[in-house]
Parts: sequence; structure tokens; C-alpha cells
Amino acid sequence: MTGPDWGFSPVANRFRAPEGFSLVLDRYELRRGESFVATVQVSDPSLITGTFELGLVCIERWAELHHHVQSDMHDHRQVYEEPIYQWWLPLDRDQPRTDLTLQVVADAPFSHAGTALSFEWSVTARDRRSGFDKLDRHDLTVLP
Amino acid sequence: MAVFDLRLRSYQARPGDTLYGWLGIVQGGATRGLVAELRYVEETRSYEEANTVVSTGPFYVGPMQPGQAFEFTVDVPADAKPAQTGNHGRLLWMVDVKSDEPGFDSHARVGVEVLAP
Repeated sequence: MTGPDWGFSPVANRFRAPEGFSLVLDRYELRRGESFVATVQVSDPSLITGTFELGLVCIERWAELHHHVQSDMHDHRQVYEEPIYQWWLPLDRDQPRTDLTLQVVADAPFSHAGTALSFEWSVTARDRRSGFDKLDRHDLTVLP
Repeated sequence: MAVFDLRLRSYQARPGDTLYGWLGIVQGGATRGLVAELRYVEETRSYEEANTVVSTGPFYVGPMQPGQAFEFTVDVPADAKPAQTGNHGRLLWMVDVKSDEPGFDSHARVGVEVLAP
């Protein structure tokens, strides 16, 4: 089920869409300890104006219950997230194509999509600027 | 509330294995249903939720006397993931035996280590 369309997401996505580069992976599912190849292609280096980099990131997302003992507010559930693993590599905007072999280390967390606790992997190429980054992100499934 | 002595033949298993359990009654009562569940638990500081649950279904209904014992089996899913600890929570397997009783249910729990495939 989707909520009402306030026009927020399309605007946000338009600001964040990559300009002048793209990212593809040779595989989107692997086991811990295995490697994959990330290919970054630059079509127009003049559009890349910030810090150009590639990241392999695992986000831990967890739920906590907040009690409001001395107020009329109901207890509420809040979800937090924080990188538990991240590795960023600089990219050269003047290279039309860069192939990088990345390994998910053997003792890294595996992917898990839960309701109270999740571990989510992604690979991101980004042009990091002040304000909105321009990025191309792909989810990666890491099996135990 | 009843009190149980819950034991497993092995506390380690691989995906697809069968766990063999033994439940001794230490303090009796009457149950509307004894059920064993293998649960993959997501535990954070304030939550404990399980989205993968393998249940035996009720294997006994009626009075429970001290000295009585029951055996049960439960299968580890073929795609079971191992335990994992993050910075703010952990994933773990446990066998939880529940006795459905008026008021609070009685439970007995033991941890199980599911090995990576």
C-alpha cells in the first residue's frame, strides 16, 4: 500500500539521481567472503563536481520502544539506523570506466530483513556535494 | 504456573536438521496445550520479535504431573541463517516451549546454535 503522493519522493529522487555517471555490479547476491565487481562508467566528467567515490555499506536498522512515564504521550516505536560496516574508495572522474573488485569479508554481517532488526547491504557510487549528493545505489544480498 | 526442565539432544544444528527435545515436568498444573517452537529471534534493547517460527503444534493437553516427560521434534528450516550480533541488536535461535494456561502461560527456553551452511 502506498501513501498519498505529496510529490516529495519524485523531487527528492530527481535531486539525488546520478548525473554524468552510472554504476552496475556483476552480481547482486553473494556469500560472505566472496567478491564482486563494481563498474563505474563516466559519461560526462564535467557534471561531477563533488567528491567522487564508491562505497560498500551495511546499515543496521533497529527498533526501540520509547516509554513516556511522566507525560500523556503514548509509548511509541522508533526505528533507528546506523552504518555497521562501510568502506569508501575514491574514484577518478576522468576515467571513462573503472572496474573495482570488492570483497565482503568473511566475518561481515549477512543480510537480514526483519521487523525489529535488519542488516541491509548496498553499493553506492556518489558525487558527494554540500546539499544533495548525486548517487547511484544498488542493493546487495549477502548470504551467510 | 508450571515449571519445566527443557533439554535438547544437541544444541547445535545445521539448516535442514531435526532437533530432538525432551520436556520434563518439575512443577505440574493443567495445560490447554503444550507447544514447542523453534524461533529465529530479533532482539533489541526493547524488542523481541520472531518472524521465522517452526511449531510442533500442541503435543499434549491436560493435567501435568511432576515426573512426567514428553519428547518432541522440530525441524530447522533448510534456509535457516545463523546467529548474528550487531551494535544494537542480535539474531538468535531458541526453542521455546509454551504451556497455554489460564492467566500467564508457562515457558521454558533454551538457545540453539544454527551453523552457517
